[in-house]
Amino acid sequence: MLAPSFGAEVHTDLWGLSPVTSMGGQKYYITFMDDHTRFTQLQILRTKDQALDAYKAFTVWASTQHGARIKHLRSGHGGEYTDAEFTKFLNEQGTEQRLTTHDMPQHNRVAESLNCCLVECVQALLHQSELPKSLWGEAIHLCIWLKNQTSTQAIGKATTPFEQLTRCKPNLAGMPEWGQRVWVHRGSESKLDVRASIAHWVGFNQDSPHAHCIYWPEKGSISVERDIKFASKQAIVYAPHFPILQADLQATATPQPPMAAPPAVVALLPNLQTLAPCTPAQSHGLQAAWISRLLTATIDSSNEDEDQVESELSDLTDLSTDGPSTPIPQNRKGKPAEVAQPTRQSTWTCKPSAHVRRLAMGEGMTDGSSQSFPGWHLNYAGHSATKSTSLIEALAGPDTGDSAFLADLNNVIVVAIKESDGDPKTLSEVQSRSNWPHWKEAMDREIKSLKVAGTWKTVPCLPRKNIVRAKWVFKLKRKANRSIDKYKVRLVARGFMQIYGMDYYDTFSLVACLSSFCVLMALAACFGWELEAFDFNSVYLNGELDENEEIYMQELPGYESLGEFVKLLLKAIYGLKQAVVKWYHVLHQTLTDLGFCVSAADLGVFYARIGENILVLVVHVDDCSMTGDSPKLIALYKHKLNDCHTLTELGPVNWLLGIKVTWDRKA
Amino acid sequence: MGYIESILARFSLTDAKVHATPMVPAVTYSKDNSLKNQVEVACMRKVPYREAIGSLIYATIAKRPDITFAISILSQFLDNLGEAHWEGVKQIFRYLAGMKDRMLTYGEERHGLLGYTNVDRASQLHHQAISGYAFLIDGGVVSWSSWKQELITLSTAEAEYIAAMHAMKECIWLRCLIGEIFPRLIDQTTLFCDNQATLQLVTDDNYHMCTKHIDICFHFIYQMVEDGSINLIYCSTDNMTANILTKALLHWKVATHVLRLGLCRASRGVLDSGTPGKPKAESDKALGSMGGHIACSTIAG
Repeated sequence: MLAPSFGAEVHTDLWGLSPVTSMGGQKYYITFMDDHTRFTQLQILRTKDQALDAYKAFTVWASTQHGARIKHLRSGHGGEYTDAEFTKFLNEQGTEQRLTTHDMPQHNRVAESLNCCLVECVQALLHQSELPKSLWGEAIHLCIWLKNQTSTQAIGKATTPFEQLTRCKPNLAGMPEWGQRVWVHRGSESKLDVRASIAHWVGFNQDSPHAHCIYWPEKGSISVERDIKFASKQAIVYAPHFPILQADLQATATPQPPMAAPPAVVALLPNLQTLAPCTPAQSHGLQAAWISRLLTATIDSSNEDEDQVESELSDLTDLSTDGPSTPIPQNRKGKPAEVAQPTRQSTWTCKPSAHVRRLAMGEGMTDGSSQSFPGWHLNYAGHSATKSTSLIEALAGPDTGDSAFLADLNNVIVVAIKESDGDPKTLSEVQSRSNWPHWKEAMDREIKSLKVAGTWKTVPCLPRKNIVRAKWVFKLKRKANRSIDKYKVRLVARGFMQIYGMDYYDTFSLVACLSSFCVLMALAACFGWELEAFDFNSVYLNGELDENEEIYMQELPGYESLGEFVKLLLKAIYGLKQAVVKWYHVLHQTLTDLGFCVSAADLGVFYARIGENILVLVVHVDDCSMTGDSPKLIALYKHKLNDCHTLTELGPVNWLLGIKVTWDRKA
Repeated sequence: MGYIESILARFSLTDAKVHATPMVPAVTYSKDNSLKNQVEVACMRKVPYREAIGSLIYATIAKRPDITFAISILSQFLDNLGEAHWEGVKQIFRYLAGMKDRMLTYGEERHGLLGYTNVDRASQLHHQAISGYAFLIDGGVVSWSSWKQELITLSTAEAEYIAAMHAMKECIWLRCLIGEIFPRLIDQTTLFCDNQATLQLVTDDNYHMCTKHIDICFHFIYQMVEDGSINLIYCSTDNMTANILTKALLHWKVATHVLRLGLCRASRGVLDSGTPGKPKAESDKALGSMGGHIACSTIAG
């Protein structure tokens, strides 16, 4: 049941808080929808208390423009509609308020479903255009404009809210795509300067009828421009789902026999979408789904086939007017409006993207060789990409041979992308790879070395124990010439599953003060002592867990045995929270056994007096630098330390925590 | 490529015009420089301020005492920055571009541990004093700091007194570290201060009207001096190396103090060319006799 006249009933709702502030600093919007015409007005607000001002403006607009007074206002039970000022204003105006009961937004169905429609539309526009979310204010203005110009079920399909209100048919000819790139003319520059710069179209200016709102991505600002020209359309889309793509293409291509050449289908898309009864955002999305998702397709502007395109445009117009739903687009000047630039496009240039080119060159393949794909050769490996029969055309063809080829291609691409994407992330991923035997071997080796070190013992699973899960980390090490050096696999515990107070206490990592390094270097320089650097290998595996630290780890993924068993850890492994502090304890113990004392001033500094001589060691987790007055002793103690924990000698200090150290003996 | 070069390249300032000071002396930074309207916010949105400050802080704590003060001021505006602050950060980069070949050098000369403490009481708008200290071993700085004092002081002497107290805490730690490992190296340590009133305050324990409000904990310094382990002596403001840690200086002062801190060019002989003489400490004693000098520059992998 529609209201009998304009203004008899108005639905309103306030939406917010938006997660992103709009360009003008707004976070809310309020809508007013007339029940009779379904014409909607929208205003974006900074704060909720601006709702009353917005409503006042709406009432004044309704009375000035259409001589109507609002009789009923239907709204939610929000505070902005029920506060004293708002009620007072309604009383003064003689408007009856119809509130929903609390927690029953269903009663305000019309306004709420409008919200849903608008927000989805904005999402689609922002997503498709890849512009920043802060442009939602501009996007929603276009959405509401489109909503008023397109038909809605409530008032019948043959008319639109705009038509209901103003009694003239809306003109949607040459409707640009939101976020489309435009060239904006720059005045007041010297004759040799660039005459235009590129920006994005984000809607019509509400106040001046012939101006456009233009978004400048570099400046992050919006300006109002008159002198613009829509740039050639560039669609960059990608997704590996060929079957869907093909079905979509055929479904859309078959009912429109006049358009035998697929480029025209795409070229006319912007027009098609404005004629279609669905919201433009939906058709934007569709467009993304069914234009080739694989290629970077650039459509050159050229006027050669203008006639042909125009005839196709009229075909298309005929087609769409067959349906009862669409408003008839009217061209005021009898030819396509000047903004309808995309229709003047006819030739295609297909270029493979950088990623596809790399694949075709064989980069990232497991064997490092150049892979020849049947399809890529056809289009890309050759040099005739510009005049090639594009893949889109191949896709649109109903030939079964082509679809078989595409299915093959699909598989090849999926496998190639997987393998080239670097190191495998999960066990199931590595098992599906062609080099799985190598990985398996590396995993066996890792388990063996952990077993030799006595890292765990297998015990039956006990109830009420926190069990930490384990994970494999894979890393493919390559040599400088990209050939494979080593399959490196590390078993790590998921330390974030440990519980503080139960599984671990301290997690600090002990480092010496930078000042201590400086002091040591100053003193070494003063006495002319050697300063040697070394670091320990796989330090975290050296830490021994205490008696009272019971950490249970699940059975190793890929090596599960029958029955309920878990691993009780005896030594620290990578990923455990306390691994680093355990390492410090072990190092402390080792150094104490060797006769070192820890400095009271800095726990990262160790020193030892051996007879007349002295040795000083500064520790930064596993990076150590050692100095002393006897080079022989330094070498001896490094050897002794190496017997306890394997270390890598780095020679005289050259790099220390990212600082370069040089030693000038002549000075 | 060194660390400084790498951060200059990261922020596309490799070819920046070189500047002689890390901070313009007359400029004060405050919340008033922060953004006021949406247009300015839009302009500054893409500025990598935090990244720049973060990468400079590493340089500061690793090897560059000369930019410590500028960084400590500019890092107060991470959340509420204005264009002036970003210009300030760029100035630091410009300064570093001219100073990237400097290395912290130890062993150029022979004297034990000595320290400088200084304070700048009222140049900042918040009226809290900025205190700083630097400790040097053999002509190379090993420990330095610049920070805003936590309390508002009534006189320069009082602010200096508190700064000296903080410097002494660091001094005790350094003496502890060195003394533990090399007991024979430690005797009296010299701490330079450029305020005569503070020295008076330290050397006699008379009751003053002006100092009766100074908290008992700050008289710890008196105890340390009486004990004899630390010798607090006067040096003129021109020779006060810790000046660079408390205020923005003119370029020739920056150049002098940078050399004093041990930031020398990789090639030798810089120190000999026309730098003012160092203050002589009474307890000036050589730590050792053997030669050798280690230079560390801020170059990171």
